Amino acid sequence: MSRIEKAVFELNSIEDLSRQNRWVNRLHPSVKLLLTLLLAVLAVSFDKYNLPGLLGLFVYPLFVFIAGGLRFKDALRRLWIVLPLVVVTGITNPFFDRQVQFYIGNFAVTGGMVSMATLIVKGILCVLGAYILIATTPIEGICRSLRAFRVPKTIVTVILLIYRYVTVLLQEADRVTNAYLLRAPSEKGIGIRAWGPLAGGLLLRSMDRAQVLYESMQLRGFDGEFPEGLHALFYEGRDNRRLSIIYFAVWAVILVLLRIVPVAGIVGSVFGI
Amino acid sequence: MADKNESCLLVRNVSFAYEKKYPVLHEISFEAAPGETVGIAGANGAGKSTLLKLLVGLETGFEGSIEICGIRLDKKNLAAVRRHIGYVFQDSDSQLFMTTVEEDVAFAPLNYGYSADETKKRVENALRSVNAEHLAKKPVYRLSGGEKRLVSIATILSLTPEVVLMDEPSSGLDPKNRRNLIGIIRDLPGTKLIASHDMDLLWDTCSRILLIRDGRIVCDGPADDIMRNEELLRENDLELPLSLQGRR
Repeated sequence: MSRIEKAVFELNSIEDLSRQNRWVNRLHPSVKLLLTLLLAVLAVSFDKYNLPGLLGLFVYPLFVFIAGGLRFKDALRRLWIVLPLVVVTGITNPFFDRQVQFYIGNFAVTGGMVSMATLIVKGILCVLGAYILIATTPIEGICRSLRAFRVPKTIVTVILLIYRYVTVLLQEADRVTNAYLLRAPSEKGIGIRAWGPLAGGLLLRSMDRAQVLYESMQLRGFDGEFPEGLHALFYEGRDNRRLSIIYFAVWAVILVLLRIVPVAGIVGSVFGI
Repeated sequence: MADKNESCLLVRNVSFAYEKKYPVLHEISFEAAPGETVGIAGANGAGKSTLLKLLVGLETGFEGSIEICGIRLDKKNLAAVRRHIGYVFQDSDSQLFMTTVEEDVAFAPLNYGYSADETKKRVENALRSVNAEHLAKKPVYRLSGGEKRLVSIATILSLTPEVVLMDEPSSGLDPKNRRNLIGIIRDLPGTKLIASHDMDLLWDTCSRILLIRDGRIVCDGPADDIMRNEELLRENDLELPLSLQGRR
């Protein structure tokens, strides 16, 4: 399987996950979207040296991973491309903030190191939050919720169309790459001289296919907005509203408490640390 | 030939060019009666697909007139016309864009304002009419080529169109799926226009044939007459259906 085929396979696998019939999948999309936003806001709001407090927020993604039957190994593999970017965000902090905060044995831990670690953890929390959202909620459900929260329909439609067209683009890229490699068996990748024509060809072919897709949508009455009832039609019955409200209330309280109460300090004092 | 008063598809003196210098269709005129199955036969590049695209308003700027179920095709009436006409694309991969089969089939009825209950009924009926009820929950990317073709047909049947257009419906299908498709096309209600160079498919499904060459209708008549006329077919870069070749 080529790398592009793997990417398409991964996208399809996430779609499959989002359509599982577990109780987490059956929760109302708006609830999961709100909790993801709350998680991100709370994570960002932590002080740059408050790493122990921040770690408490991992309880929410961990819970959804277990309840949603998501595998850590798969998540790590899928997020592998993003994680280095997250790590890079605070890489310069240790050079600017050299004030020693505490010692681990003889090793002096500076403020820059702690703030870098905090930034990385914040990034990981946000990425994990987004991952558990899309892995437990179909894209149509997420977009329906965005519309319910008054996000402009143009933005929501663009999100949906990008989601649909990314597969088209990847499939075309796979065809073009295979066609090239079959005629250049000794090369390990695509030669730099072929990049221009291949990228141009790929763009044109993708546009052609996207055009046909769009025509197909137009012929079936598409006027710029996906029908709002589409997700509701097949998933409304399974959205458990009462459970969704309880789930939101409980998790919102837990997450806010984790932000307000210094849980790490309390746990530390209990164990005499 | 259809009586003008009964026609649900009326094409009069239609000419079209993507670029003015290179006309694709010249003075095309024909009509089709309700329930009639008309084959549009022609070699590659004859103008079959372009003609179908004109009929659903995907290409505009043509000369002449087109009427679908009594509605004249123009920009103002596009939505109304498309309510009566369904178009099955040559490439099913490009026709299906939702995640699961049932979502794809429900897309058109919801867009046209049908209620949730009515839409569900239409999805069930459309899938049943192509013997694909078992595929309802399946993700589109998991379908085989034959299944994708059936679902493509179901997506347009969900609006119960009076006119169904099909562009090379048998391309890429294995013999079993092709045979299955022929059965389904025969059972479809309404007027059908099938553009293909698969002469056997046209022979098995159509009562009438329009033979197109270089954008002109060179012959319009009963399938039985045209399909057995080897000389006519050869002049137009086509061949006798395989099922008739053995009987010579």
